[in-house]
Amino acid sequence: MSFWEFELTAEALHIGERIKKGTFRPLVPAFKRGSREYRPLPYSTAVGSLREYLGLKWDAPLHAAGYLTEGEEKELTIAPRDNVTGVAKLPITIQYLVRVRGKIFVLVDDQSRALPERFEMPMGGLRYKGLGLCRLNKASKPIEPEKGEGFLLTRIPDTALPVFGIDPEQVKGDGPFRRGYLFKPTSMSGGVYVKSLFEGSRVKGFDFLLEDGHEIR
Amino acid sequence: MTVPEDELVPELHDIGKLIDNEALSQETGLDFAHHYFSDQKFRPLDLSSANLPVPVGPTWAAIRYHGGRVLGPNSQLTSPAPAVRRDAGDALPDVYLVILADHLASSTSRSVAQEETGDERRENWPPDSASAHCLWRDDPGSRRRTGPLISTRSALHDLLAFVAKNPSAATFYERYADLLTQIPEEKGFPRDVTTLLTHCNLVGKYYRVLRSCTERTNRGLAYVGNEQRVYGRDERGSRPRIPGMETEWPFRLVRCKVTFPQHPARAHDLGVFLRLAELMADLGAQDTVLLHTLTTLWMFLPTDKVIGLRDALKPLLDAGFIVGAEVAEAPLCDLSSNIFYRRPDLVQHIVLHPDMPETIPLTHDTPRICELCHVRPSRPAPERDEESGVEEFLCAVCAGFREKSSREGRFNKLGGSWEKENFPVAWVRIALDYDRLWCVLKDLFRRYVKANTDLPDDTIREHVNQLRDAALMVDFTRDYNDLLRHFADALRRDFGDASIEEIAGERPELLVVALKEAGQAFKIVDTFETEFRSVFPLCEDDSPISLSISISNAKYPFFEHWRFLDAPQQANAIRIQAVGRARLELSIPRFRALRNLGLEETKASSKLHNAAAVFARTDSHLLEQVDLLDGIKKFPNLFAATSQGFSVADLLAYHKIAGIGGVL
Repeated sequence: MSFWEFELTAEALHIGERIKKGTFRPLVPAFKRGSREYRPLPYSTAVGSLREYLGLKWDAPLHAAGYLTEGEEKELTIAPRDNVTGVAKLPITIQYLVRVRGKIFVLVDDQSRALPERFEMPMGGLRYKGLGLCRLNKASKPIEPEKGEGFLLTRIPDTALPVFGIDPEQVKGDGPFRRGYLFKPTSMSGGVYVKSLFEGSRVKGFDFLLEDGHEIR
Repeated sequence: MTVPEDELVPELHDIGKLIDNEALSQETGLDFAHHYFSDQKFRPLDLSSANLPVPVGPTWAAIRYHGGRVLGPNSQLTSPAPAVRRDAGDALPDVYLVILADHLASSTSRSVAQEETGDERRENWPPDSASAHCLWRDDPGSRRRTGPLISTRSALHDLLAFVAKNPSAATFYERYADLLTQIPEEKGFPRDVTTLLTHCNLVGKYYRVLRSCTERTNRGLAYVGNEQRVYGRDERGSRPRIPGMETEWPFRLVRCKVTFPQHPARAHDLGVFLRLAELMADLGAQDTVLLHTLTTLWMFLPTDKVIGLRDALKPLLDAGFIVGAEVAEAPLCDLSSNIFYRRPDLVQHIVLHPDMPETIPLTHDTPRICELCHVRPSRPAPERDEESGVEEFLCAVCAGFREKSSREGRFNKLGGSWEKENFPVAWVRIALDYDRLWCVLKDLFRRYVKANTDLPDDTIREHVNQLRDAALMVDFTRDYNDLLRHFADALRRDFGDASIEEIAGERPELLVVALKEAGQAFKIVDTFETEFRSVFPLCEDDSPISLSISISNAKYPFFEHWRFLDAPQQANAIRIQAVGRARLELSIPRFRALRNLGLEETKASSKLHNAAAVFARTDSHLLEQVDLLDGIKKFPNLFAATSQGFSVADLLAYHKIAGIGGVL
């Protein structure tokens, strides 16, 4: 297996969490390792955006995930208008990142070979407010990942774990694994939430999505 | 309250430490030499010859024979001295378990203790002390020698008559709590740093866990936590011995951090804390739990075969909580010595989640994902908020937390009058960082040894390395709980019940205060600082306890406060944020220094804003300082502050936070 490695930069980006009480839209929390700080770029976000960019159907096979390494946290308060009535609802506060840097890794296959060396694509939330335009620069040649052990830096559904070198058997049962759900489309308009492995889980897998360490807090 | 005659109450094993051997030897004519009611040669004293009551039963046997030297040759379980066999009778195996528990609960290694008390003892080594030395409260150089020991014949008579009645542990604590908190577990320097109360409590817990996974056989005691019985034999032969048990019986120490997946949105969603506090209090009463706070739990468990970790934590997992656990499995002799720091290779990291389905469908006619926790399907029918008409799909667990809070009539001010009257609220969180605590304790211990001896640094370091964590951590946690209670009481006194909601438990680590007047945020910190100084005066410079305050209007989502409040402890013990406006982080002494400057009187807000604006434009602290110093004579307090090293950002944040309060 080989992966395209893309350097990601964005002026402003919102990779959010699903949170009740719609007046506040926080970012995915940062995962801290010593002085370094990572934010996951979940599989569902990365794959969804790439499918959209490539004009693929919701079920087209494509695998990608990544993480952000830089970005300054900001807040923005807006009052979205109802499209029908034109009336502004309650103001909502959005957290977003500015001057963002990160990486996305895309499995090399027929679909992803169509990705150009450099391109721009929208990703994340609040795109209608001008957030989310990402520039991606591809490394000259695909990387051949090696197996390693460390802390996962992104979020991957259990079903996609083998793509990233993680044996699903190793994450069955109790272990140093953080769990949650990611959205998986099952039609143009519907989907399910699937059990997923979250950042901070200590696993064996391809080293490009792992950070070495010994501690989970 | 009493217990049946054949029940051993291990908490009483060290009751002999409450008596003054010297004084009572003079008064009774008996040779009280050890806390086993024995003479210099460890022979049991004939108490009846001095007309004193002579208790009988297993508890008395444990009191007399829990010292390794009185067991018999080589501590062999099958060949105790005749006197031991006669007095202990059927309870002999239980006495052995008390010995194991006693070793586990001690604050330092017994082997070092014996070495120090031998012939090589230094001439100028400090004498024994009958008063416990509190590392975080007592001046390291002022060591007390005398303590409140029982020294009269009549008091000794009462004590022995008390033991003869087979009292329960609770009755023992009720009667002797004052003494137990003042007397050290070990009188010898420098092991006099833990209280007898904590030691007795730990021995009781360890003993009952040990007993739950051992069985008596005709060859002695066997551990049943493995596939085969493990006797704990000596290196030469087949006879089980105490040292053999300590090296062959594996147990687990588990340090847990409890979290929850919810993102509380409404006031009643804070019911998650009510449930957590309840569960932690229930778990805390179990013998397997050594200490706990609102989100931390330390457990002593046998191997997985006897009780699985998931089973031990079942109440928390069933209630929807997530438990991050560090598990160290090792023989008893290794577990007692700070294993998490000494042998990280033996420590396993586990995150236990409640049961999670593989998928949660998202269609209109089947359950959706819960909107609060995002880890369980919601109930089919939505919850409808009558006031706003908003519908929310919640799972049974999250709805249960909400219903619990509502049913108990909690958080009505937060979700009601404060929100309507639009007061700013301060979320106040006190937390104890156990990793940092261990570093602090070692440093305090080092200072204690250094202040009382002329030992070289290398030797002091060796002593520090002998220090064990469990007993000191429990002692510290007890004082921490006192701090929480006093802090909450003081806040209620200062602010009034109408301005406070306690979020979790009787000793709240989390509470919320309505700031009805300007300056009240700092009043909260002042209260904390006063209470902290009275309990932990020697920890001010490097505190393992932090105070975090997050201020906003009452409607601001709680989970965003929680991110700030529950963040791993930073370098500074005091952290205050006014959401979207200011953030101030200082150590306790620096905060006091800032308060002492009386900056509230100085109307310097625009001056500070101007200086901060210069920095924003130029990115130069030098130009910022130049702007600040221009005309600073009008602001003498500000000048004093800058000369003490406070930055413009700190001072501006201080001004902003000081101005918060009253109707927004």
